[in-house]
Amino acid sequence: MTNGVLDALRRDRLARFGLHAIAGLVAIAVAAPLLALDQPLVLRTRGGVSFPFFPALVNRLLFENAVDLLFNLALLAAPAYGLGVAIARRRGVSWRRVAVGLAALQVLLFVACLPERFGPIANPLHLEEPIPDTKAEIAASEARGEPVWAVFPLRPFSYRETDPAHSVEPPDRTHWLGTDKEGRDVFARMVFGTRISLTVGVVAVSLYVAIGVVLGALAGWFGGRIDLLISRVIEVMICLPTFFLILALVALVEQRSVFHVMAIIGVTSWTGVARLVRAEFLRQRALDYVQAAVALGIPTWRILFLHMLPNAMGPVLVSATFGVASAILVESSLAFLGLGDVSVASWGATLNAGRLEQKAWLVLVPGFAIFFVVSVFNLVGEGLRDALDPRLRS
Amino acid sequence: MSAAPPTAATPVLQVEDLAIGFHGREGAVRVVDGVSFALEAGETVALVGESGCGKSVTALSLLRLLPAPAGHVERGRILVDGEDLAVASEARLRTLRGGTISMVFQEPMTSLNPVFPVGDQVAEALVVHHGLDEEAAREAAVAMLARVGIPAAEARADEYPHQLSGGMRQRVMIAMALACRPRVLLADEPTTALDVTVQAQILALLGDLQRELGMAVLLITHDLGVVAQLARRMLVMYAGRVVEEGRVEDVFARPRHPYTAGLLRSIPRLDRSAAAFAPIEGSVPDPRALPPGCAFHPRCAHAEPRCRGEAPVLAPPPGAPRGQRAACFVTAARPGLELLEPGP
Repeated sequence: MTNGVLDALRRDRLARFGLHAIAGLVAIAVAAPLLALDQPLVLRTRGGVSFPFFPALVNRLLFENAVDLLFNLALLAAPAYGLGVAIARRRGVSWRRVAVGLAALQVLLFVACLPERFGPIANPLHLEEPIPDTKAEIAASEARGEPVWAVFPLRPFSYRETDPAHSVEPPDRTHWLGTDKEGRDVFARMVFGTRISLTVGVVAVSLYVAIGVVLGALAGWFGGRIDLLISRVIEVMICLPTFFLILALVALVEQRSVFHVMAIIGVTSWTGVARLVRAEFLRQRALDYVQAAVALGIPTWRILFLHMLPNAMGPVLVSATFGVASAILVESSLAFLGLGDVSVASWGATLNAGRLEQKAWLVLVPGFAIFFVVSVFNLVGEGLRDALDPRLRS
Repeated sequence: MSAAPPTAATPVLQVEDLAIGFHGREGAVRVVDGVSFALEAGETVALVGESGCGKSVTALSLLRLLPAPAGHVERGRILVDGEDLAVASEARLRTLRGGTISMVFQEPMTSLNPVFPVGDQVAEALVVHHGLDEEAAREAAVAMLARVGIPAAEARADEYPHQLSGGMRQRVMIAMALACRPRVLLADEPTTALDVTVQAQILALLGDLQRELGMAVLLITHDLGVVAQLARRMLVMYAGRVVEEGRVEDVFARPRHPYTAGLLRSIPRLDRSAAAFAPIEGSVPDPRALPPGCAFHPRCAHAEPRCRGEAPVLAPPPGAPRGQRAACFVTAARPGLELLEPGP
C-alpha cells in the first residue's frame, strides 16, 4: 500500500475515527485483566507481600481459552515490546518492519505454547494452580482484625466468577453493568468479549483471505482447466446460503470451541476474495511487468505472490475489513443462538442471556458493543475503499 | 561471462525454420513461417517490419513467452549455444531467461512493477539467477543502475517507478535485463515510446553496453533510423516471412525487395524530392487470409502474373553483395532494376 493511500485514509475523518476506535478496542482486549479480574495486583498480609495477578494470567483454570492466553501473553510482554519498539525507532527502523517484527514475536511466543490439542479447552498451559479465593481470604483476615492491603484491577471480578447470591442484578456501584443469571459481572464479560470478537474477526478473515488468495491466484494465473474447476467450486459455494451452512457445520461439532467457529467461518466465506483475486490476476497476467518478470526468469511462485499479489491487495484489503465486521456478527449470532463456545464471554452469549432474562441492560450493552465494533470496521473499510479509488483521489 | 568469447564463426543464437501458430475460435493461424537467422556474439541484427508482420511474436517465441495456450512454436529450432529452446523444459527456460537471453520491452511506463522500488527489481534477477544474498544483490543492482546512466543511483534505487521519467524507466529496464550479463538481448522497440532526444541516449547506451558485454542484440523495430544507427545486419519481415536480409548499408543502398524499398521510401528525407516520398499503399494482410503466391503482390508496383501463383524463396539476387538475399522473382529476373527510383 502506497503512502498516498495512507494519507487519503488519514484525511477521511470517519475512517480515522474508525482506526482509533479499533486501536482502542485492541488496547481494551490486551489490558482486559487490568480492567476486571478477581486477583489483586499486590497483596500484603501478615504472611508477606504477594502478586497473585501475574501467575493468574497463565493459570488455565482461570483462563481456559487460548484466545485469552494469546492476549495475556501480549499483556505480560507489553513492557518488553514497548522497549523494543522504542529502541528500534531510535535506530531508524521503519514502522513497517517494527510492526512485522512485533507480530512475529507475538506469534512466536504463542506458538511456543502451542495448543497440544484442538479441543474445547484449547489452553496449552499446564499450570493448574487452584485459583485462590483471594477476596474471601481478605474478608477473613479483616474479620480477624489483621491488617490487609490489596490493589485490585479496576473491577475485582473475573468474567467467569459466578455468584448465585447476586443473580440478574441491575447496574450498580459494585457491578457497573449488572450481573447475569449466574451472577457473573457483565462489565468483566463485556471487556473480555472484546478479545473474542476481535480474534474471531481477524482469525476467520485471515483464514478465508488466505484460502481465497491462493485459489483465486491459481485460477487467474493458470486459467484453463484449473480455472474451470476453481470457478465451478466458487459458484457452488456461492449458491449455498453461508449462514445456514455455518449453522449446520457448527451443529455437527460436538464440543464447540471458539476456534471451531473461526475455522467454519473461514472455510465457508472465501468465495468473494477468490473471485476478486482471480479477476485481478487475469487482468495482471497480460500486463507488461508480469511479462517482463517471466522474461527475466523469475520463478512462477515469486511472480504470483511477490509481484502480482501486492498489486491485487487493495480490493482484497477492503473486502477483508468488511469481512471482519461480518465475521464478528456471525460469531455473535451463533452465540446468540446458543451455538457458540460456552467457555468464552462472547457478546452474543451475553445478549442471549439478556433476552432469556428479559432485562434491558443485558440486551442493550452487548447489542451496542456489537453494533459499535461492526460499525467501526465498516467505517475503516469504506475509508479504505475510497482511499484506493483513484477517481476520488485529489 | 565475458571470459568465454566465442569465435566469430559460432552463432550465439541460431533460429532455424521457425514457424509460429495461434489457434483461436476460427481455427489455427500461422503468423510466422520459415524464419531463419543467426546472431553472432557482439553483433546487432535488426528485425524490421510493419506492425503485425510477426516480428514481436518472433521475439517472444525466442523466450517461449507466447501467450499460452493459444500461441505455440509449430516447427523449427531455437538454438542458444547449441541448446534448443523450442523443446527445453520450463525449469531450464527459467534459468536461461534473464540469465542467458534477456529482453527489453517497448513500454517502459508499464514494464516495471508499480509496487516495488526499482533497485529491488534489478536485484531480484541477481538473487534468482546468481544466488546472491540481499546485500550483495543490492550493491550489484546499484552498480548496474549507475552503469546505465542513472544519476545518484544509490538514492534512485529506493524510488518507485512512478517517480521516474520514461527514459529513466527504460534505463532501469535495461539494467534489469542486463544485470545477469546475458549472451543475447532481445530489444523489442526499446525506444519507440520515448522522446527523440532520449531515444538517441538510450540507443547510444545500448551500443556501449553491447560492446562492453560482448552480447548479441536482436533489435526489433519499425524505425529505420534506429536500424541505421545501431545494427550491422538487418532482416525485413513481411506477413510472417523474412523477405530480405543483408548488411544494413547494402540493403539501404540498394534494396532487392519491393517491400524493403517501400519501407525506405516511406521515410521523408530532406535530400530527396517530395516525389520520392511514397508510403506503401494498403496494409499488412490478415494472417488468416494471406494472398496466394507472394504475400506482398497486392501492394507491389512490380508484381507479375507469376507472383500471384508461386511463393518466392529467399535467395541471393544476381549481382548482390555477399550476405544479401531477397525473396522476389522480379529482382531475381531483372538484375538491373533500381527499386529506389521513384516510379513513373
